[in-house]
Amino acid sequence: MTTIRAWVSVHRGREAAGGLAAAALLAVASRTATLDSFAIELTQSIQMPLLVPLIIGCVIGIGLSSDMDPVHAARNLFLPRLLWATTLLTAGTTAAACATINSPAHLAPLTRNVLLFGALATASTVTLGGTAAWTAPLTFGLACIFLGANAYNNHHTAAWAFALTDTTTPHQWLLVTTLVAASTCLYAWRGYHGIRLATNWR
Amino acid sequence: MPKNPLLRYALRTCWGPWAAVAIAAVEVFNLLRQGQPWRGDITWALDWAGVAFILFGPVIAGVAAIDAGRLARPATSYLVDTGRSPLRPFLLPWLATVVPAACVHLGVAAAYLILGASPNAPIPWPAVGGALLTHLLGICFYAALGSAIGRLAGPVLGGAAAAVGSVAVFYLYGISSERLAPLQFGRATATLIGLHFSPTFLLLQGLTLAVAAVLLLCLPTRLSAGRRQPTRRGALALAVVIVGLTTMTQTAHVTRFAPVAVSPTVCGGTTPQVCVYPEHTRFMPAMLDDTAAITATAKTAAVADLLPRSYTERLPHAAPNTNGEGRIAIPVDAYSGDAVPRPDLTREMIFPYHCRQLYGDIPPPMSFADDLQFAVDTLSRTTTPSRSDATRLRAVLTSFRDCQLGQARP
Repeated sequence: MTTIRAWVSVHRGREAAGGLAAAALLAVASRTATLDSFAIELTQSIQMPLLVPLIIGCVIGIGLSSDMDPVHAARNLFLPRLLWATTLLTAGTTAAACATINSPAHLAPLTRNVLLFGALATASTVTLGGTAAWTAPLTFGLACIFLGANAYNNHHTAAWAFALTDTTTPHQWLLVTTLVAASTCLYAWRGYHGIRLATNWR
Repeated sequence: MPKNPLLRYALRTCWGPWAAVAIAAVEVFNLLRQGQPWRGDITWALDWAGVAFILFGPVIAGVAAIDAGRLARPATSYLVDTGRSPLRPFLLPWLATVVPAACVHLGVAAAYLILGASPNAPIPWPAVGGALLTHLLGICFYAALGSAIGRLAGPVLGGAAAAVGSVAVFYLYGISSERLAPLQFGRATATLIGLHFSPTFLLLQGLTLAVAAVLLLCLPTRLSAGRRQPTRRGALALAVVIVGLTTMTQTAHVTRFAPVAVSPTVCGGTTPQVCVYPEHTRFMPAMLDDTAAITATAKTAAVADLLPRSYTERLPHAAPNTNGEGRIAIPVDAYSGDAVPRPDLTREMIFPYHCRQLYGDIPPPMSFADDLQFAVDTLSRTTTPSRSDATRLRAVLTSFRDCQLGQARP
């Protein structure tokens, strides 16, 4: 128990817990809302709960990082990091699932999006550190809305912008599962250090 | 690394200068996408350039938050809480984000101006300058917003909060089409010929962004139990920003564009004569060839007398024409190239834009659509129409000329 508490304290567990609680509240508040246009005409109306996993992904990326400088641990941290990432992904899915309470939102697309944005945020944290956990999820989320679902000369939402759709396919599951497995293993192997141009980068 | 200490600090410690690489990628992608349909139309070109703000605004806010947040941590309090102006320590990280981003944006804007300028249309420099100035103020605002959020939330939560929050701020203050939307820099997906940026809109937008950016950048904060909070004056400044933005957005009824007088002065051809707006000169060569070919087909079908002898370009939402001239509206999909596809051009040449029935609430009968499609198919063919087709074509075009839509009787 002490080890677990120490692990959560060393990492940004408190920020992650607060962020996931706020995301759960947002999921409940937005469970019936839709986004019909967003400066541009969209090819489809987007269920707002499908966008909450973007925030959850950022929170997961933050939770994986730490305020501490790299520690030369006496043991291999692959398994503990793998467990920590899995725990945050599970907690993130639970937070997103709050959107299904008394609403037409389905659990499957929410879970898919948590895995997708979680994987992207994990990759950001591994490469750039916890401060930049938002970069990949936000870039991909905005690209989905403004490029994938832009009605200017698209009649349908682009296949790669599947995060905006409320139906799932086996191909999507295969893709997100591969992404999340790869990024989680990368995190378990490399940790949260990121690429640093200076020693004071966190 | 440069020897100048300020440059070394900016490049070694701040994220801002490196974010310019991502901004450049977004800008170049936006410049090149969808076949640059805005070519020749300077107002549309600048409006298209502004669309990139939706994508790189959150990046600017995020990196500004990281840089300001790292400086605002308790460990560096001795650099920040010196009793001097709260602006002083945070100005350099803010500039480290703003200056590279502004340089990239101005560089790409120059490309827009070169490609967007038409040799036959003068550039409206006051409107162009005003629009570019508001773009720069937009960069300043996003960086100041990020700086304020980063100081209060720290570099880790602050970066994510500023990036995601700036999307929410854009949703609140950047979308309205009827009122002042301070964060609206671009959205047009159709030609803007006949419209220029409204000076009133640009002035109000620029003032709002400048005041909000200054207040956010000068936000006074203090450390309390290891957490940075706004002082009373800081809380007041935040309240002024939120109330001011909301009030301006809700009350100022101004539109982004104001109409200006334009006329299609670039003309060519004799049978028929075609005139387009100077901004669309690039469509002329193909249009002259195709209109001549379509007219030749009409002659073989003995219906050339039912087609107008001259055509002028029609702008979206134009009123019915009553002078006997034909109208050619360039379809949205054609802007990515330099020619209007033959079937689309045929449709435009015979479409009865002069008939008031097409502008009312009651649509014409379905048989009108069938007649139109038949006429387009017949005239688009390169072969001579059969006698029965020619007879029906004449009846259709006569019904179009007389505005008896859907009532063609061979």
